[in-house]
Amino acid sequence: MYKENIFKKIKLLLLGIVTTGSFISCDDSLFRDDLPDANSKVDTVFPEANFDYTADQENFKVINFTDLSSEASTYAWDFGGGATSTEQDPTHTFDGEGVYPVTFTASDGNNESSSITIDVVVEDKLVSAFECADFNCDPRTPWGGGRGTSTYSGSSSPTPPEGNGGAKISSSSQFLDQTILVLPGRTYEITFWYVSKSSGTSAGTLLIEDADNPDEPAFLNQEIPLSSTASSYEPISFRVETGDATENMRFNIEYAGTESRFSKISIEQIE
Amino acid sequence: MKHIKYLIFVITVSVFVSCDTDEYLNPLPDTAVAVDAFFQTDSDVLAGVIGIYDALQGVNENTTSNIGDVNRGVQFEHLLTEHRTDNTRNATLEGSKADFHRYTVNANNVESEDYYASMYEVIFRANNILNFIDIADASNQAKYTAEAKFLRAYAYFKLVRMYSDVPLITRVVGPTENEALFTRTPVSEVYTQIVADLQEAASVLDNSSKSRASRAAAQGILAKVYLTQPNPNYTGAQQMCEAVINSGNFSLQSNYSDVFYSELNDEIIFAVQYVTGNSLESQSFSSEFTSGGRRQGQEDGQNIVNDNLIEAFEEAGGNRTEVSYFTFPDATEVTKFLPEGSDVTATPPTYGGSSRDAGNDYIALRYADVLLMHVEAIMAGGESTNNAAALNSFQKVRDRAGLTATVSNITKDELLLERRVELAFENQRWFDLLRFGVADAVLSAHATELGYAFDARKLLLPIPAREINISGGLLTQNPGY
Repeated sequence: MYKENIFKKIKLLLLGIVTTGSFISCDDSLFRDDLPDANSKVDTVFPEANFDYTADQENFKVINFTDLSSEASTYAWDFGGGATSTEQDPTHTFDGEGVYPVTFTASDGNNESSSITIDVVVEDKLVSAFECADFNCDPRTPWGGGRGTSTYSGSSSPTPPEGNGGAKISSSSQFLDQTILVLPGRTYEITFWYVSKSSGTSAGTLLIEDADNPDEPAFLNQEIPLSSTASSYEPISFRVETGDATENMRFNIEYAGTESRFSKISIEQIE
Repeated sequence: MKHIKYLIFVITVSVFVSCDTDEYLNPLPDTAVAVDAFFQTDSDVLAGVIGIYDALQGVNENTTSNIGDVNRGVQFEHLLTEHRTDNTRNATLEGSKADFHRYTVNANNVESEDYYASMYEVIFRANNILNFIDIADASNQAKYTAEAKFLRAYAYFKLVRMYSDVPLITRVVGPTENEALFTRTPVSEVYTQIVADLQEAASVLDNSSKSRASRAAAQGILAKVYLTQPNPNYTGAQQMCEAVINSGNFSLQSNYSDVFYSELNDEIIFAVQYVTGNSLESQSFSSEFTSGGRRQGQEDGQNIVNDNLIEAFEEAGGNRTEVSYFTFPDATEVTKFLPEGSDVTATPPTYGGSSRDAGNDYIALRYADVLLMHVEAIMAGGESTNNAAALNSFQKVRDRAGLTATVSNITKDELLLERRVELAFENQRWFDLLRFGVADAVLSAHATELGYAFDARKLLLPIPAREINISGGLLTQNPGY
């Protein structure tokens, strides 16, 4: 009697478990594509794609992309030329300078998606500059052009522009010679201030060339005209075009028989 | 019958303790402040103007520990700025205050929300004064207006740089005007308003005050706005800096320490004042900059100096180094804002009698900052400058630091480094990195070095979730939050 009872209860219990089990057996498909339960909400906020990009500090061709989309969980990037990525914040290396349309698609779990195409500008932004641009540095190594130190003397009379120093060139052992980094195939405008004595014909011989290829024709090789007065500095500008493979540009002024003073030199890339 | 008195008692009590459910169910947005018009006379309006400064000053953490009851004003600003740069960090990883330096701030962050609300408190109080300006004496109306607009611009300039597009509100709005309260205005439009407000302040005010808005304060902040706005106005920035320089009202302190320990000295252009020992008029950040066994604040210690910054000081600090921080065996702490009576060289160090109610002013703008902005304006986004006027301004700051070697050329990196050490712990570095366009690069490297997870989306703070929740779907979140 007592045993029978136990048996009956166990049988019932087992039967119950098995029966229940068949109802709640875990079948993914049942849960995944089930109709929404009561109280679940329809997604009304859809993805909105947006991104930004910055060039690597070391290599201008390497562009870092940043996803700025909202309501998205998967990302697809098309950099053109068959290159793609599914990372959130990918990095892509472009072939060189240019404008590349990049398409970015942001999607959510319900396959709602949004796309945006932004023209990515890849450009080399090297800013060229002369060291010791007022010639007022000590030692004068920046203007020595690898020939040791130029022996030009400092001069504050007449008053240089903005009170900066001036370089006095009054013999053939004095010169200005500096090589700076530039970009190939660009137009640069070099401006400096100068004043010369009124005797003679040239305030100095100006040579601007590709420092790595001195045998090729110089970008510019000419005499600097005497200044209009011998009592005050005046600015003068020269434009040069760098070669297709130029990396270093040499700027050189040699004494040409007339004492001259130079000050405040600058170089600007002309867009 | 004899139960009636109990019944009466119960009813009476229930009347007293009945909850105002309406307020719980319909919380007011941070960007709305309910005001009763109490303005009757000129002195009422003046009190209201002073009240705008009060919103900026904020409430000491030592006074009311419940952050939901009060706004801390600028007293948390170092968390949102300095902590998010390579300069400083929190001493521990506990609590939401420790989220800033690791770039793990989320939309529920209470300090970020408090700062956002504080700035809007400034804006709303300013708008409110403008609304009652007619009550002031005719001779004072222009000045009060200029002060209110200066402060409104000051607050918006902070908001727009930290949160990007924010609701632009220039009038008194009711708590239910959702369109006005929660529609995000594009950055460029916010800047247009900031510039207009500061230009008006600069044209009306004089240089008679340092603890309240002045012409130089408006010009100096406007210079920074011009340098920061999406299309920088370098010429305008240069003119504004030169206006401050040529005013003759300001000069560098010969002793760097005096900048911080001599109140409203000749170098200060605008400062938010605090009073030592007065719990209602003091600040808590001085004590929070202490940590370890020296802990004077309620927190574990903030603005703990990173090794990276110490290296920068070794390179370019000069005599600023010993004034700026002190290295204990377990941590390096800020010493620019030590409470009155402090001596950190003693063992154990002492911090005076009211370290938690410190009176050190919050320096919003000082002359050295203007001199370095002058260099920045002349550099005009370029890589370097050797302009004589720029060299002159730069040399003054260097000379004062004991670095008297003649500078003949200044690169962008050198200028950024100079600002870093000159203005360390003054909440400038974050904005400098953004303005120089190097925030992403510098902070990525910094995060890699210290093992934090950083991406460019962290350059904006999240719009506080509380605001979004009560905006009825109007207010949108920044990407990545």
